Amino acid sequence: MYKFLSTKNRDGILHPIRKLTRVMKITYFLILALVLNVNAKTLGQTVTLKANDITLKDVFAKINSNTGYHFIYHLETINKVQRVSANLKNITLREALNQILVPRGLDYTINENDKSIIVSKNQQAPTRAPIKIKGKIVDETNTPLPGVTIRIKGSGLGAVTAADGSFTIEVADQSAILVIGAIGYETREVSASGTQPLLISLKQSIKKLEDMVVVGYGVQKKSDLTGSIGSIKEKEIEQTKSVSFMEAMQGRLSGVQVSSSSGEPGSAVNVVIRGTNSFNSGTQPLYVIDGVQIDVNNGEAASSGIGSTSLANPLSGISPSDIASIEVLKDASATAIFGSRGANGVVVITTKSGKNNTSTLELNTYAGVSWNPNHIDVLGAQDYANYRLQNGTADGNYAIDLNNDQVFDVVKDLSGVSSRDWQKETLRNALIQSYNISYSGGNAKTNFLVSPSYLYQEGLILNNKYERFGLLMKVNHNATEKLKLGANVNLSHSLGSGVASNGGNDVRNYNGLIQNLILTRPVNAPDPTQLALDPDGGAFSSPVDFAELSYKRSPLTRVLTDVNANYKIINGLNIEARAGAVLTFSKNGEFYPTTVSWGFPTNGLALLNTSNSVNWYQTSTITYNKRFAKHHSITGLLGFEINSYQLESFRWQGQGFDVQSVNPLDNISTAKVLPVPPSTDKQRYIRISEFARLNYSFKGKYLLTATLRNDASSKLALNNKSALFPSVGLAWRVSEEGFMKKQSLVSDLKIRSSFGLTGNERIPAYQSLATLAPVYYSAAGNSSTLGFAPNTIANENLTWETTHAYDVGLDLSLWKDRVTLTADVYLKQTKDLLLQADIPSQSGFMRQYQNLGQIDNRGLELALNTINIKNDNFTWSTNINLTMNRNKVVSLGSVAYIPVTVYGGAITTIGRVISGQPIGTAFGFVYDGIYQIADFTAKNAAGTIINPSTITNANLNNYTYTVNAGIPSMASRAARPGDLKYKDLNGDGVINDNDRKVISNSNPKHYGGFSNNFTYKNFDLGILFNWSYGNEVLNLGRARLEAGQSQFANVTEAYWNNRWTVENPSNEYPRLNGQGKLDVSSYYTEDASFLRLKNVTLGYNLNNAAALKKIGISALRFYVTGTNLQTWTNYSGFDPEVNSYSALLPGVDNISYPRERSFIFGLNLKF
Amino acid sequence: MKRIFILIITGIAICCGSCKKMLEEKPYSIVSTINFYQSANDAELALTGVYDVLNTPSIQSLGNQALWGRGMHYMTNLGVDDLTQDIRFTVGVPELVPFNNYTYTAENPLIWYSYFSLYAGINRANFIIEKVPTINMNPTRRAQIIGEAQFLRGMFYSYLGWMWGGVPLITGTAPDVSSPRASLQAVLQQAETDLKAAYAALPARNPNQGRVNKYTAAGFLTKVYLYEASAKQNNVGQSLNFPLNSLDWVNVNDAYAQALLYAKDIYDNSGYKMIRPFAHLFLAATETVGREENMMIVQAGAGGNQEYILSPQLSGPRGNYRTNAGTNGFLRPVRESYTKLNGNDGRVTTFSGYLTTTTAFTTINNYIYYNVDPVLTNLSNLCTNKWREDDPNARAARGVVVFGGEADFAILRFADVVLMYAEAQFQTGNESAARALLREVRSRACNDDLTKVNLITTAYLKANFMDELMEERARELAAEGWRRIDLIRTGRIASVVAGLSTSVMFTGQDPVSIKQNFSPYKIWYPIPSRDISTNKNLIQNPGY
Repeated sequence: MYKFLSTKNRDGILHPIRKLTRVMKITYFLILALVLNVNAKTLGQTVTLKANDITLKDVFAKINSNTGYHFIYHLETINKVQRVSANLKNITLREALNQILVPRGLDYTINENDKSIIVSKNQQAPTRAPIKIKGKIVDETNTPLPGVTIRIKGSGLGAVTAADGSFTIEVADQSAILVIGAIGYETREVSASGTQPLLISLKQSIKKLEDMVVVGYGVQKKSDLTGSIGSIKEKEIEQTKSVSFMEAMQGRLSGVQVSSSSGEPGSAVNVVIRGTNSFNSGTQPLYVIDGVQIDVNNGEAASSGIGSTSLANPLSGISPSDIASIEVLKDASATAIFGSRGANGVVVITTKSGKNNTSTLELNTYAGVSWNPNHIDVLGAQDYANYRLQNGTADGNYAIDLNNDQVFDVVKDLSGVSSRDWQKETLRNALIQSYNISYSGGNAKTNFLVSPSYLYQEGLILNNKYERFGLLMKVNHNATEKLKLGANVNLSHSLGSGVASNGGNDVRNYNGLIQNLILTRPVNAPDPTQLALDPDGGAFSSPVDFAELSYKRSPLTRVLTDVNANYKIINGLNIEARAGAVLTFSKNGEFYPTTVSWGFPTNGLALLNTSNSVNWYQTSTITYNKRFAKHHSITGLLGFEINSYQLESFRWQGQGFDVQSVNPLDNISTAKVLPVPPSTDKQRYIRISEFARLNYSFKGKYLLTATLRNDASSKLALNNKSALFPSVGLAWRVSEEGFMKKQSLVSDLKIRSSFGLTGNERIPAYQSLATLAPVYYSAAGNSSTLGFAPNTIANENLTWETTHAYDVGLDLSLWKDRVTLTADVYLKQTKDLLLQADIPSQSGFMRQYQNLGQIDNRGLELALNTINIKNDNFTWSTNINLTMNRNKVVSLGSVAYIPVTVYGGAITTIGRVISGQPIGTAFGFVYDGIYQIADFTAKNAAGTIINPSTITNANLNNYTYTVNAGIPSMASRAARPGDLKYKDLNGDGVINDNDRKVISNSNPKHYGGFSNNFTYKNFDLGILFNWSYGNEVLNLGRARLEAGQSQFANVTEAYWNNRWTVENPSNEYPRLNGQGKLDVSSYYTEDASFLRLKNVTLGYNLNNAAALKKIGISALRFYVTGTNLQTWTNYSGFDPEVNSYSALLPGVDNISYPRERSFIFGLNLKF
Repeated sequence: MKRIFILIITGIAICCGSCKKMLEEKPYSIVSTINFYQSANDAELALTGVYDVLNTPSIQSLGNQALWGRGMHYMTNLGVDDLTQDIRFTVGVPELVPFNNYTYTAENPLIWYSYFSLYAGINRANFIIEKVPTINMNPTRRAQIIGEAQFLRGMFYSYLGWMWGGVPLITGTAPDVSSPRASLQAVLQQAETDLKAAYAALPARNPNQGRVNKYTAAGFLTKVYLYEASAKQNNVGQSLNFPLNSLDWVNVNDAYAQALLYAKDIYDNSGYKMIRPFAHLFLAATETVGREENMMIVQAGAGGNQEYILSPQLSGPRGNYRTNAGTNGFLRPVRESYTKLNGNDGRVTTFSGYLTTTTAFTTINNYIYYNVDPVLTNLSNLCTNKWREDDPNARAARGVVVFGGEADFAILRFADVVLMYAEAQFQTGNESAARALLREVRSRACNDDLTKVNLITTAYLKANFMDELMEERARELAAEGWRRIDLIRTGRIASVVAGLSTSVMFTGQDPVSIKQNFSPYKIWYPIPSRDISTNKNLIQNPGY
């Protein structure tokens, strides 16, 4: 105990004055020691002390009451001492003091005489030189863990592991305790006394509560959240093997509905969080990519709108392999900080970063093949000839005119003619390849990551492919103790090519390749150089020629840059500034030569579109966090943001190319004809915002988050430019309450609730102004005159769409987090909906942007994670997420309903948005079977009733049919046998427009995902199902596949063999020329519920295998993934998961791109 | 570090200071109505904007050739003994099909878009009528511009009245979107007022070739008065008991007198004449000479934004528009339309068979027109042979798209005026003058061959002059968009539909359904359902 008598101080130098005092002190202590020795026996008294996080002063008080000894000390001396926790039982006073004071750098002297204890600072230096401890930190699979921090317990000293997991640390003596903590792992305390090097294995923590979650303008501990936030991590994203991260979210998160418009690679994906809550204003969430806010603007991907409207996904350039986590902010407490952009939810994407003191090279690659799992059976040559004869459009190719009266009498024998199966000829086994190399690392002050990637994915259709080149670069640097600097650049260049037109918005596109490969006749494929000789007069190319001879390329380059600086002004007060820009450049070039149907009429057709956007922003925030008066903790955030968005586009169309050996897109001056003048467009808008957030926590039990944002947008009318968006969230961590401490069942229980306002102003710019557009009128001499005409009608009252969102949620963990459940119920009321509303024609305008009505979305979200089995060799975990959302139009203001139109095709006005109904409903007649001959009284031209048995297929149309009593008939047309029959809903005896109702609902009753993950030794297996139940699709493609829209188009076998004829009075399929095929009716409504085995991945991991180490590989993983392996559905089209381009009625199928099934083999290597 | 901090704070402060200015919307590619209509040039641009409505492919990106580019031909010619559809080929264009057999409803998109397009034209004209008077420019031209706008507004209101009956009356630039339907009386009287103003303001010929003039206005005034008088005379729509569309207010004698007045002015003073040969009225090659008769034309041609007439979808010889400039054969003549003609009538050449050749052609003014097939005796290949387009390759070389019709379409031509003049003469008691006018038209039809004129006059003679005149109008103006309105206004439509032959000319023709689906209320088109639902003060026409 007298080691303090050392004559050397820590520096080893004795200062003269200090020396003097030291000598005096020594003398004094020596005297005291003698006294103590004398009185040693009296110190047999024992101490029992139980202390739980109390101050030293309180400890002294306790000892005093226990023993009667009082303490003498300088306040200064003990105030610096941390709080004390101890549990001492019946030990001597001296032992107690040794345990409590000595580790805290204090010494003491017991004065037996006056029963006092003098407490003073321990002045001595350690007697021994520090010991170097070497060690290595690995995870359960023996993989080294770089960048892990090791601290010495009770001291501020620490070290960080290197790339191979090794570390070196100096400790005072062998009794030192090392504390090792890493995010995602259980914290361990290890004695430094073990055999060196210490091999320390960290267990992955199943306790997820301490996970950090990225929220708006910051990160938060998951346990401190008051909002509803879903998140998926790297591993799950990687499993999906999808082109875009949006698809990777599908089936993984509750409350998030992901549907792609098409199976075409790189095509647009629609993400809806907690239901559609807007009409014409955007329904997509806000994306925040590494702090950069991005709205999906499909206009950024240039498109002619003619060649193909299968929208390109402007965010598909972000490579999923670069993403570390995706957080989805769902309720107002989480999203209101984004104010006017938060109403549709926010998807926060964090890309990977380098780790300090490491150096890692990682290679991820996979390759695979995909194919179309479905085939729609259509007629072969002979049946097709029969069909042409029967529908009256036969020519010499299909039938024979026996008596030369220009009427064909019998079908031609085509048995020797081979039928073309265009689906087989045009769809192929498509290849996928992906490469990603990431090099990351850093030293203590700086970390970096460089990750180039390349993806090549073929579409199922010939010549259709998608390529992506990506480069993510990130640097973070601690310039000083106080200043952190960071920059990141994410470059992507994606290139879609090939004319894979989807069922979409434009007439041409509606007759795109994907439709034609089913509808094209199976014989008499035209010679591409002789299209004019097409006997059907349509000059239609065969799908194969069309795919091979047409040219389409759509490159899209996106540059995302961000620089940021964080400066610590004082402890707890940080200022952060970030600025950057997102630039996009895209071009769409299409050329249809004279040898394909689109180019034939005009001697070539070239389309060129470009689109550039500049989106810059600057965000400044000040954060302050402070813990005071022991139980109170606050974090405050104040911020300012400015954001400018500008989009410029160019359109050009050329025709009449005498030279087609050179692609005219590379030399547009060879166009002889410009059918439409080239046009440019430029628009810009600006948002200016101020925001604040306060997080307050009391004892970590009661949590409050309050946010307030003021947004001003240039898009809105003069007096409505700015608005306030407040929110408040409250949470109670029940499990932190004293009464919960005694049980071990519930490891965490939190009850959350929130309310707030968020906005939406995603409408085109300039809608509050009255504008004119250029128009033309022909003049003499084959010219035209430019004119101007009113184009939009001003709305001086245009304002934000505001969502009032309420959420109540529960987070529950049982059995030490073996079972975790998150449940939320929510209500979102969106008011003042921004809507391009129909207005009466008498205004001279069809539509106007208005604020109208209200939509409610209410729902329930459940996410259940269980770890079913967890032992050394085998783990099995399960995740189920389920969402039930009910959407309802509460009011439409003064408007009775909003018609929903899909452009292109014969059936256009198909739906209505009606008050009291959900969004996404088709509106039409209710199908009630097929009219039969017995339903009518038939008369001949003379008015005589004829015997029904004399009716034949040939003379059917010669008679006048009157429906018998009790059989409803159409008011606008006389029904005939074989027509579609509808229900007389109002019972007035006739079927007219009043007998229509809602006939389909695109919204599922529930949807979700179910995944199981297994690991066994080095193997892992992941199985993901996703489902949608109760949603309906209006399968308008059937109208085309059942001879409804073109008499030349091929028809399905199912229709042809079962259609109504006099001999086959079907009650399921109408007559060949039956009326009603183009009515909107529930005949086309189909249940599109499905259960899909979306993804199965089997992997094998090899970490730190000696053989691999020799060649420098530290970890290796092989895997095989199957996607879309099986779909259980009753839907008759290619795939039940369709999404039209109208958010108002997503469930419409005009024959869409088939969804591929694929097998992928992959390899990950770490060096 | 402090400096950075201060810089940021200053930055924020500066940004906030300039906030308001930054939030002003700055349109780059867009002209606002606020700063337009300021100069003579603006006035001309705005006027072209009104004409644009006539054949524009779309307005505000909506509609699909709803007026004379395509849709109006369907709405004015079908369902009667004029044109029918070959449904085998129109099945893919379902908004057009219902006009063939009276199955249209208020949901029909073509009805939506044609109704809207007329109002869009009215709105464009309203801006001129309201804003141009204050522009500092040549006062003569200014008055003419306003006059032209008034003509077009008057014409658009005439069509609205004829097709829908009473409709909301909008005459200003700040339209009341909740105003109810005005009476048919108010609508037609507005048309009269506008047309009279145009008649007063416009010169005999418009300096801009092809645009309207004083006599065009007179011609439409004649149309409006004849409509009022004959419809009142024949109790049109009375059985429907729908006061809004009532014609009770018309003074028949006054209206016929007015019609006579304007028709006489055109006949005596306009300088328009019936050109020879008849066929040259309908060809781009002979447009110049055609304008000596064609008084109100919808111009078409290259340039601009696809300002064409969608000829392959209209009535013309069925062929291949890509090779021989035939049509798709969507619209075909009804049997009666052809059988009304006597073999000696030169106008039989306005009918033909299909267009199958790609080698045999006739050259007119260097334009190549492919020769048509003769009409088969069973009429299975009967087609209209009026508007013809020349060789597609030659047109492409001129910059005209292959599916675009370049020949102007005449809404009003002098022969029509002569026949209207005859009607007015007859109705005001001068049958002999009326018959003389009829003979003038027939004389041109026979290329002035007196023998033939006499032969057809005998063949066509009817005791009731109006019966004969209406037949003559059908022969002269076949497929030109007047037969349906003529039959409605003279109360003949029901009997004509009932009398249609049920024998089938071509596979798929279905005359039975036309007869069965006709009902007297179908003389008025339904007010578009989208308008009824967005303006609760609108009432629907009876029967729908």
